[in-house]
Amino acid sequence: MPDSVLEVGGLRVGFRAVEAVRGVDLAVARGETHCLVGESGSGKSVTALAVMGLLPRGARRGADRLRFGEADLLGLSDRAMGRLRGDRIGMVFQEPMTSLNPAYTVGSQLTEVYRRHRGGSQRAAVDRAAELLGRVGISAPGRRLGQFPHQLSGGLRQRVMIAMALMCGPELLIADEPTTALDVTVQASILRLLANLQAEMGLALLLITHDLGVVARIAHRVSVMYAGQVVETAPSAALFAHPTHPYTRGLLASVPVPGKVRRDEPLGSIPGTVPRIGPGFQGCSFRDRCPFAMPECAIEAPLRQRAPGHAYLCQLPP
Amino acid sequence: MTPAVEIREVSKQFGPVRAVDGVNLLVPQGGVMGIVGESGCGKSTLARIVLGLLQPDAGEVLVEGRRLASLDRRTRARLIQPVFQDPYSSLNPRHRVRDIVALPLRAQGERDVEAKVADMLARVGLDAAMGARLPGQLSGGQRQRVAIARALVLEPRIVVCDEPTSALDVSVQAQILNLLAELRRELGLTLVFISHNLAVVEHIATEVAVMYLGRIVEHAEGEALFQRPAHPYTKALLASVLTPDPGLGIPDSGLGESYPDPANIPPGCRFHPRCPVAIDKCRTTSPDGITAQGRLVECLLAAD
Repeated sequence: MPDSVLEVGGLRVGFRAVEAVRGVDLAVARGETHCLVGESGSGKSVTALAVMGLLPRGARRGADRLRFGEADLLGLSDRAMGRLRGDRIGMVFQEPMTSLNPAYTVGSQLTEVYRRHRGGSQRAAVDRAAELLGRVGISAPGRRLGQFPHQLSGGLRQRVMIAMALMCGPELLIADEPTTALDVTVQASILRLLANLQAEMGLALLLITHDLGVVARIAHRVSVMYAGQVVETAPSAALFAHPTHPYTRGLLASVPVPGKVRRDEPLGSIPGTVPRIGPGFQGCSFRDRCPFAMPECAIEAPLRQRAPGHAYLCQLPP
Repeated sequence: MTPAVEIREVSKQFGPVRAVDGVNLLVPQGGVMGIVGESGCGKSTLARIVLGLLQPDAGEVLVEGRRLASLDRRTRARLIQPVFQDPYSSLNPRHRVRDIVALPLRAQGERDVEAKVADMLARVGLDAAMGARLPGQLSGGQRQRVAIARALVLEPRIVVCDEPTSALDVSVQAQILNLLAELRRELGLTLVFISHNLAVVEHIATEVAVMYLGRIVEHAEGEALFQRPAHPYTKALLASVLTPDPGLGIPDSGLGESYPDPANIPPGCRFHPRCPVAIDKCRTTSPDGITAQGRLVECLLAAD
């Protein structure tokens, strides 16, 4: 994709004897929301950390391509990467209480980010912080700047995190489970906010979530991860209309859908658990849980095309 | 028939926080009572009171017609058992699975527990070899099966589940929900099922109570509540649920930005500052105990 802000090709991450990410390809274009969906252990958060250069010590990262704008992230020093993060790449994590420093006011944390990357006067930074708090729907921003994180509700803290991520006007926003810890009512308002800001600012948004309801409502493109690989990727409407990988189909069947509930029928569920993938693993990683598994699955899971832009890793024809 | 659980005018206060504020609720035998609401609404406090883990400041709880406060721990344990949210912290990491499941039996003074434990592990879908494992060697779903086995080994009449699937992945959540539904049918259990996930509650509950700032503001049969919600808060909660329907966009719950504070419950209807249809009267008149359409709906507008 030529107009993509972020382009990831063949990303691999390993920790000791575990291959956590195994050849992930991803692209996020300007003005696009790309959702990375999967269950715990699928490698979705590790993928995001690898892109941001925030993997824990001891992790191995390799890739064929890792490009942000015109910058090749693979060749970038830690310092140069640090200059990009918080500036041209914004980040929002799941738990705002641990991402914000409890000892500093909201205002000092917001202005610190801005002045570190952009310099300028404290006065200009305070104005920018108040403007951003207003943009994320916080009333009386002047008063909020003087408050500490613990004085804010979970929803407000998450808005502050989003404001902080947007302080320097990033081109790419990476959000890892930004609404998972919140009530449904607050979740809806935070997602509306993200979608509106994204459209207004033309952000490229990489959103990581396990919640298929969130994905359906906000994504333009979806990549489903399982055991370190993207097993299916498609435009959002196509993925929900024609889920093709057996794992995607199982995942969709296991979500109880309000209004379409048949109480006496069991939910679809996927038996077993996610395997640990060591070096030298061969074949399809889903085969032990797959109702359609066949002998060839132990050898490989080929990449197949269902439609333009809709690909999946599986022996089964579309 | 005597209700499985009867909650009468129960209140509980922590400092300035009125966590549970005059709750009445009947849980019928063999039913699944879903209790839903946002964080801080008092649903977990209510669960702990029903389990006898917390004493209410006022009111009482009857279990199978007997006053909970009058029962000793052993009798209580034979009647009512919990399953909690976090299968990581609710199991002792140093005890083997078979000892965790055997503990309630041993606490009752039973000696020959092996057969019962083995039977229980099989019922929750764990093979016998799992009995020798430590919780740290199990997946989240397997741990929650152990917690369910421990809750059921005394053959209680009632199980109180507090967010039993919230820490689990969706595919595992489905396994656990199916297991609970199956065990309930086989053993004739009554469930009290607390969750913030409305879709999960709709799937499993026969009746639903919606809590807001310490009170049950609507209580109805499950299908009626989900198909025809009557309280504006219930409507807003249902409107906020994101179903996997692409193209619908993100809904506006209409609740505005003023979040509820249990230490500072507003006068009149406690929901009025967030209510999209509130009228003047709602600021001053409390809608306690209003019924309409054959159900509890604590809303002045529903009464008219």
